[in-house]
Amino acid sequence: MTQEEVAILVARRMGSLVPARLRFQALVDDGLSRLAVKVAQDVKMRPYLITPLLTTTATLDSSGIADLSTLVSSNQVLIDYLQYGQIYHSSSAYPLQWVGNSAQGKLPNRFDKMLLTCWLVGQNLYAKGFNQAPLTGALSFAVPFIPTLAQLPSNLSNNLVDKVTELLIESPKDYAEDSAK
Amino acid sequence: MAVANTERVQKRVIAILLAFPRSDRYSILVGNNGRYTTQEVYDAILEADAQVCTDIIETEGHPYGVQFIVPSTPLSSGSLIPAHLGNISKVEVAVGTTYSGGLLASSRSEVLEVNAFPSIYGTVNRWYWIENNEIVHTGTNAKVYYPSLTMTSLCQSPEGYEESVIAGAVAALAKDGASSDYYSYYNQQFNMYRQLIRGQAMVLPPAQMFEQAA
Repeated sequence: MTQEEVAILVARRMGSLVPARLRFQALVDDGLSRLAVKVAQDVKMRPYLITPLLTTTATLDSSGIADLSTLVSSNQVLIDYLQYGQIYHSSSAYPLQWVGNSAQGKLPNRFDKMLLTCWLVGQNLYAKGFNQAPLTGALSFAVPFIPTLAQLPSNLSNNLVDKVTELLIESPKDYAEDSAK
Repeated sequence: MAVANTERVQKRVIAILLAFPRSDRYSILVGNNGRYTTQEVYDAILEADAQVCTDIIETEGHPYGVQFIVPSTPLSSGSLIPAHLGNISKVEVAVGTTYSGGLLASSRSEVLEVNAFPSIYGTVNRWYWIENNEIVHTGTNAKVYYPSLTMTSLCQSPEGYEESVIAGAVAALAKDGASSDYYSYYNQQFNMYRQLIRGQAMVLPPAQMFEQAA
């Protein structure tokens, strides 16, 4: 679907005439963001919007830290939903295990020999190898992301129209409530 | 479409004015008299014809109006539409080099905003707005189809309106000292015909009135 086609479908739902479509078209990107969050939160829908492992990578430096800002800005990775996906390193067949924070990450635990671990500080991902050794090299990500229209699976087209329509019928009060939070 | 026969109109006008030469009572030339010249009659015919054509052009939806519609040269967004008579017939907006029917936006500001912020609106094609003879659009170029009338050496009114051209030409040839009843009669005839021509209007409010309400 194109942005224009989404706007046409929204206009049909809203019973709006042709000129209103331009206004709707401007909301398609916002709709995609909302849909991505909804999909990430829904365990059944999540597989629809997961980044491909081969092309979604980040490099760990010698201290075992990977800056994810490029993945966030270019690959539209949802960093706040990173834990709902899987992160892999070539040294293990199993995905990295999440720990709550850097304190937990630095403490030895009984699975150190078996599992790689990681935690997030800001947009930096810290990774530990076996037996607490710093992990280096490339990490591959299969994690929730915000798709472009071209990346959106056709099964989710209708959900996108839902989200854009939802944005249109929100009242200013809804936004006020958000900002109060 | 058949148009009024200029020669026939000229003969009829000269006959009505009794200005033919004695040798030929149905002539395209004015006879030897001091009141009219052939050129004067000819010019009056073309002027009356232009008036009839203008009536057609200015009548929205007139069935004969199509023959006067011409496309403008390609206009970039922000261009002024060339001077013309009557209402714009249609607008085509080009995406690349392919022209197709334009979509009417909600306002001039909206189109300007779309052009200024392409990252928000994405690919936006074929939208336009016309205000104060300026066209703004979101395409590469636009063509505006509008009525145009250029007087030539021949009549351009439809054949069916030939009689109105004759009446208009005779009325236009009134001179000081002439019988006012005589010329008034043709003037009335001409105005009656003009009302009938304008009565061909398919009276529809412009689509914009509805679309803007959306």
